[in-house]
This record gives sequence, C-alpha cells and structure tokens, in this order.
Amino acid sequence: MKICVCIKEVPDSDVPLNNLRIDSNNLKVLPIENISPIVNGFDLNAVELALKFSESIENSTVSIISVGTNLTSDVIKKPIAMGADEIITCDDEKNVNIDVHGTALVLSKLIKKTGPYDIIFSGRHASDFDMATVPFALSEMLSIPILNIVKTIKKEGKKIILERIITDGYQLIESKLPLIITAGNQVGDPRYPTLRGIMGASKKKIINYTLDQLEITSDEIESKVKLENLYFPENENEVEMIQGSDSKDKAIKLISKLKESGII
Amino acid sequence: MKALSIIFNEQENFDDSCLEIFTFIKSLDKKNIEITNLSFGGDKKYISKLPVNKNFYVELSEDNTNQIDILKTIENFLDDNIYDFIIFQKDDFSNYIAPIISYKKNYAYIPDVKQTYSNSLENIKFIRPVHGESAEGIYSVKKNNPIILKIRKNSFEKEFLIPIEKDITELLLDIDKNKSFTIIETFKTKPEGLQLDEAEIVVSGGRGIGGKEGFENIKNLAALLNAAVGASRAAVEAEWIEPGNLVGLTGKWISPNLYLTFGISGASQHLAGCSNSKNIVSINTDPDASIFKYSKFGIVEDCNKFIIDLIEEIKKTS
Repeated sequence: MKICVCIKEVPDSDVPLNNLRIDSNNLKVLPIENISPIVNGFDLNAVELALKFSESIENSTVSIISVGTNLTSDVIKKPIAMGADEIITCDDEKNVNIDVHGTALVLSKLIKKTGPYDIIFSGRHASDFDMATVPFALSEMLSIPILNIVKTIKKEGKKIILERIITDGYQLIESKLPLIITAGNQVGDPRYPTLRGIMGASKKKIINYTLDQLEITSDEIESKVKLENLYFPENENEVEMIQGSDSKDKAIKLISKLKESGII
Repeated sequence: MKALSIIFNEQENFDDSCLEIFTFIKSLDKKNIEITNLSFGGDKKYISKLPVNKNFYVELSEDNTNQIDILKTIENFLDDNIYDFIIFQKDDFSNYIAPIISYKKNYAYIPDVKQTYSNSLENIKFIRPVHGESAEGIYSVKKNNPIILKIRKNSFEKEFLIPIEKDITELLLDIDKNKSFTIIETFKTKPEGLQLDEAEIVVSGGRGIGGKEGFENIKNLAALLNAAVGASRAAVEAEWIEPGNLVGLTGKWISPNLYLTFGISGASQHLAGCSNSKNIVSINTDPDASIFKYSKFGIVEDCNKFIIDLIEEIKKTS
C-alpha cells in the first residue's frame, strides 16, 4: 500500500496572543521572537493515523509531501523521525504567498509525479489560516473522493472501514480506494520520534521539485480570492477584577455583581 | 443580483440560526437582490416562511445521508441556475460541500466570514478570523467572479420569518449509485443535560480544574443554574469530560447570556467558540490569563475552591 501525508510548516500556534506580530509584507502572523516553526498540529495527527494504518499492512510505504518557501529541514523532517519513509517537497521562493488554491495545485502535481497513492492523508485544517479547503480542492483536482475528520481506519479484506467524527457523534463508513482522508486531534497524540528515528531523519535527503520542474506557472497558482490585509482586532473589553478577603467573600461579591447587572 | 442560501437540517426541526444568512445576504445589496433558498431536510412549515423569493426543499429520509448525494443534487441544481453569491453556514454538511462545490462550479470560496468589509460590487471584501482567532484578514475576490461564502454562526442578527407560509418546490435527492463510500451507521452521543448551543448559561472547565473530580463541581453548579456544561480542549483531551462538551474552534460555538469559566486560560482556539457570549466571567489562578481580557468580571482564585464557595452561596441566596 502506497500512502502519502500532506503536511504544512506553520508558525507555532501555542505562542500567546501578546507575543505575536504581523508581517505586513508577507501578510503572516508570526511570533515576536525567533521561535522555530512547527508542523501543523492536525497534520501530525494525520501522520500518526497514517503510520498506524501502514503498520497493519505489509509492504506499506509512507511518503511525506509539503509545499512552501524556505522550509525548515529539521521541522518538516519530524514525520520521518516518527517513522515515515521519505519526504518530497516543492520548496520554491515563488511559493512565498501561495494560498489554498496554489497549495492544492502544487500538491496535486507532486502527488501525480510521485504516486499514484492508495490513500492521501492530511490535517483537517492548518492553524495559520484555518481555511480547511486544501484537501477538498485536492480531491477535485485528483478526482479522488474525500472523507473528513477520520478517527480510525482499518482494512478488512478488500474493504476499508473508517470512523468519522461528526458533531455530536461519529459515523461508521465503508469505503473504496483511492481515498483522501483528513484527521484531527481525535486520532490521539502523535508519537514521539525515537532517537534512532531522529538520527535516520537527519541523514534523509529531501526530494525537492521546483515549480518549473512541475511545469506550474505563477499564473496557475494565482487564486480568485486575495488576502488584502491582516491585523489584530481591537479588544475594547474592560474587565472588572473582583477583589475580596478570601474565596468566599469573592463568591458573595460575584453573585451580587451578577444580580446588579441583571445577568442572573 | 442573485443569491442562493443552502441550509441543512438533519432532523425534522428548524435551527433558527440559519436566519442569520438572510441578514447577511441583505447586507450585500438591500435594494436589488433575489434570494433563492435550497433546504435539505428540516421542518417544511418553517422553511416555507423564510424571507426568500424562491424556495426549494429536498427531503432527507434518514440519519445516514451521504454527502455525495447532496453534492450531486446541488451540482445538478447549479447546472440550471447561476448565482452571484451562494451562502452556507458552518455545519458538518457545509464544511464538506462548500469547498468542493466551489471547485466543481468555478466559484471563489471564503469560509468563516464574520463581516462584510465592503459591499461595493466592484470591489467586494469580507473579514474572516485567522490564526486561531488571534488576527483577522480582509479578503477580496476577483471582479465578477461568483462567490461561495460560508458564514460563521452568531456573527449576524437573525432575520424574521414571514408571517405566512409560501410555496415550496420539492426536489428529490439525486442518489449516486456508484458511491465510493457508504455510511454504515451514525452514532449520536449528545452530552447529558442541557445542550450547549441552547443554554442561556454555560459553565466550563479547563486544565486548571485538575481532573475528572473537578468536573463534578462544574456539573453541580450547572445543575443549580440550569446551565449547560462546557470544556476546553485540554480537559477533553485529558478525558475528564466527553468530546460533546468541547467549546472552541473544533467543538461547539456558543453565545449564551452568561459564560462562566473555571481554570480556562483562553487559548485563541477556545475563544473562537465562546467569544460571542454576552457576559464572560472567569476564575483563574493566573492573573495574566488571556481569558480575563475578554471577561466582564474576573476573579484570581483557586477555581476548585472558589466553585465550592460559589455553589454554597448561590444555595443560600436562592
């Protein structure tokens, strides 16, 4: 079984709000300090799901695919350290302002060039722009059906059985291959890279293709939708901190404040 | 100008948050707009009172409706009709269908729209949150390109239903016989007690609660206030509470009158789900917790101790 996982390098999403800045040239939200980027959290959930699935099937390979500009080698190699087999990128300076449409197009070309794959995994959305669109665009470009927010996947004979998360529950689904799958945190924590994995990853060569090599022009990656401006919304809220001699006193004061303001 | 609203209601009920769609559409062009609605499932009587010019209805027969059939139905519908705008609202069906339809039919696509920035048709722009909820982006669309928008719930006022029932044209669901996947069964696990999106008061716990036991007090306080129980992602991932109780970007989006948080720091992805609450009251040991910036009242205190005192005092006063 030939499997691939699409991953994205993103700014660290755990940086608190007051330590973020806007890069107004490239329209990106970045940490103030030089904090290393990370692999999008949901993409690591997808890597975990893909690795679990590949371990249950003999002769499986897991390829990691990524698109970007000046990708950080140590960061995007994390899935290799976790156990994936190879990493293929389109790291090209012309990708600097690439959006969902361009990303999906480049991914589709990389997948056609290095595939075909039986299953393509990705995170449910990326933590930088939260569009949740690339996997669906990919599904249309490759004419491969998509199932979103999958928690488990297993092979039973010729059938693929999946659990998909929905609001207020889940669905049991039977599917054919090929298939695109998105994953979220319901998959469970991604495994830690082993020391051997980290050593192996550091030696692993990244297979890179430029946009020219993929025969993609700048016009083709241009989107119908354009991000014009990015800003931090003003927060005009003023909090009233309730003081008191002890916890009980503060509780009494809170109740009377809530009653005074007509909230309860 | 022509706009199409696409609304999903899996049960035979009517979720009136869809009325926000029509306020949004009218904000695009007040005078000269023709609104068509295409509803999948839901109470026909209510749908016939939607403030629209043309109204179509597709019955959904069971819980296991396959997105592929809905996609095919919408695709066929759009073969005969072209719109300047197609508006969806954030839900399971729309999250799947809106981006795919945008590619199939060559529409521009902007998800999670919370505001129209410029409604000049020459240069239309929309605002959506990015990077969790920490920043906002202004997005424009190529001139004359039809647009699919998915709007955020609780971001717009609700338009009123019209007082009389108007005609609905019924359409059949196009069943795709060669589906690549089939839904064997759907399992619903609604949280116990009052539902998060219906409650006037929500009491939520986060990492600061410290364990499963802490949620017993959250549940007791919720019962006392006739409130629903919510939780942050940290608490759900630690399995202190069911995933159905999750409030945030990947969980429920709520807008209660009162949102009481205990031991929640206010990560941007949690704020996404609760920032439309009318009054937030937060209890946290850390005076610098982000949640205070969005709260009406804040209390720096050990939340497990405070909640016991609060329960006791409420019992005394009621």
